[in-house]
Amino acid sequence: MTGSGPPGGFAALAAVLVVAAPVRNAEGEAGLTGSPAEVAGDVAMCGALAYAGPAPHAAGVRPGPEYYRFPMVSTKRVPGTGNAAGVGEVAFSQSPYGIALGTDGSYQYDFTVRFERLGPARDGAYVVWTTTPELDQVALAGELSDPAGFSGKVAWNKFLVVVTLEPAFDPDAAMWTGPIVIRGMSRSGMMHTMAGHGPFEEKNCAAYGYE
Amino acid sequence: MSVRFKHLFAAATVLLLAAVAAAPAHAQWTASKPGSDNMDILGHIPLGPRLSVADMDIEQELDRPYAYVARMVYGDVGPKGLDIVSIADPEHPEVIYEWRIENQDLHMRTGGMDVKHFKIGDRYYVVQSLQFGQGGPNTDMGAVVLDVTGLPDPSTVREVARIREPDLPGGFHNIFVYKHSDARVLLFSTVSGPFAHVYDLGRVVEGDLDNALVGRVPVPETEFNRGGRGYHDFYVGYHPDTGEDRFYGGGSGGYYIYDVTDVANPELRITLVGVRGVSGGHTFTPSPDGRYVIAETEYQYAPIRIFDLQPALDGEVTNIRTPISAWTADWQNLVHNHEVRWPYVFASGYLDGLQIFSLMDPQNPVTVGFYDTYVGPPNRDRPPVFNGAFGVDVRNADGLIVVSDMSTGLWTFRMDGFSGWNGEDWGVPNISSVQDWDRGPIRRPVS
Repeated sequence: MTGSGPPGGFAALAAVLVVAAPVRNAEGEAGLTGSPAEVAGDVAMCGALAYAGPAPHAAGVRPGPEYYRFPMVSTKRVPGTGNAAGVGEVAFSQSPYGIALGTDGSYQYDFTVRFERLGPARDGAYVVWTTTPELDQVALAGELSDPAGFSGKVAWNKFLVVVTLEPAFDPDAAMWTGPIVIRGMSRSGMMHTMAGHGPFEEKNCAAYGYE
Repeated sequence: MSVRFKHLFAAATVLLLAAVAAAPAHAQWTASKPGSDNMDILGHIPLGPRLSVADMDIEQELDRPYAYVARMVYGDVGPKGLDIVSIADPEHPEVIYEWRIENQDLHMRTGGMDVKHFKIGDRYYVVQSLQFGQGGPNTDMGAVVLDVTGLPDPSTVREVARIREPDLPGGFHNIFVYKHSDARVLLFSTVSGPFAHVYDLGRVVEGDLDNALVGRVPVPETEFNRGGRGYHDFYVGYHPDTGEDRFYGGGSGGYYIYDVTDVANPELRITLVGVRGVSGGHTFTPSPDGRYVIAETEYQYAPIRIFDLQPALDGEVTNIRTPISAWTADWQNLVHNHEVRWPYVFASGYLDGLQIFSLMDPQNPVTVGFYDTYVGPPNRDRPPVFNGAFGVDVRNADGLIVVSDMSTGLWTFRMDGFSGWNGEDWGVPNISSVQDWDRGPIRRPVS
């Protein structure tokens, strides 16, 4: 079978370059804007560089930078969560020095996730995790007690946010054991190596995320 | 005759041949009558969500009645891995084992795609090709190898290797396993590069992955593939006339035939480039004697083309660009993979289901049987024709036909009058995709 994605070529390369460019939130705040559907639409069009400007936002909530927002997508594997959708957003952590760094020199980010149509956990607790794309490092972010909003920290430029259904919240857990309910990929997940193919070959380079 | 006129004439000829071969021009299979009268549907097992089933392979020994079915996510949801289905009772296929990539919901792209079984010594294995995209885990993983010797006891299945290519991320799309004339069992795989990889599966199952890559078969650069090169699918078979192990690959620009007797130093023998309507080759399979080739290309409306390689085999030319005939199930759709049991060609025809045509007269393909495994509509959320029958295989010992359908699962069939296949019975070498793991290629000379 042949891949169905749009040809890569200039558009894909341009998308990668644009996404890779740092876009700093001037206010340094993590505003919660845009419905999951709006964010999903933005991401779906990224491969063609179709950016329609800032998404509408709720009154009183400051808009965040578009390229730091990403959709959270249900796996449809857990009863009661198939129609759930969510939005994740990333911002630089506040620091009196302008840039917040961890002890190993990594940038520190604040992230938030919020969900719609995510019913209460049945027989357990929703738990939020962050992980590197290769899953070689996993961090427990906390229990998702309020689907309307969860905040945490992450120290990777490229990461996944994973919500699982666990029998109970265990603050000492090192790895999830329950099924994955919903997950999302940081926008930086669009960046990729071109190893194996040149920049102008027809590869589905713009493929991103879990939609 | 001018060159331009020759091209126009060739294109018109292909279309005319396809139109003649595909009588009637529109599908005659319907939801209420999906099959021809000579097809017996034996069994069917749905396997889950729409667009979650990919290719399949069956073992050939009657006492090992197992079908291996690749699982992918081409639609919205589904598993990523492999199902093992017992067809001990073909009327009641039964899933007996599932292999899934761990944390499958975090893996990008489709997952399982092509699958092949093999045997080394007294142990049986299955190799599942995998494709995971960047942004998630295992982007360098091309295949997983399972030891399935202990089937039907599922508790005995164990993973023995994962083949990775960190420098060529994106996995393997198609694979082929060939028992080479040098007695090695070789895995040919597509990679994200302008060549196919060749792995010594003996080394793979012994854990010597560092030395398992033993060859690369390039896609030759021609004027027809300068936008990028790579293979999509291939077949490897013994060529009795020359005594060569031959690689038949479809990829960017067309189709290529290599001598891979010395797999570390492949030698290009024949090209099929500059074929009207073919910018990239897909499934590509020779007749048992290597004279004819059945060539698919992957776009809606494309017929399967049949080429006669004799002028190239005689040394008169090195490139063949004009088919001698063409066949399609329904000109509005597309036929996918195929298996050749000369003179029959068993095709998984996407929206048209299982299709069988005869090349008794290679210049006049004739449809001899069909059963539509997918009576749903063309896709609206994906390319329209990429749904329905995806993979097909035939058990030579008894003629059992097995089809994997992207949305409806696994099907088993028999065709009246086809109770098995041995090439000798048809006056051709007993050569097909089926391998003789213990003895290797048939060396009977022809011509």
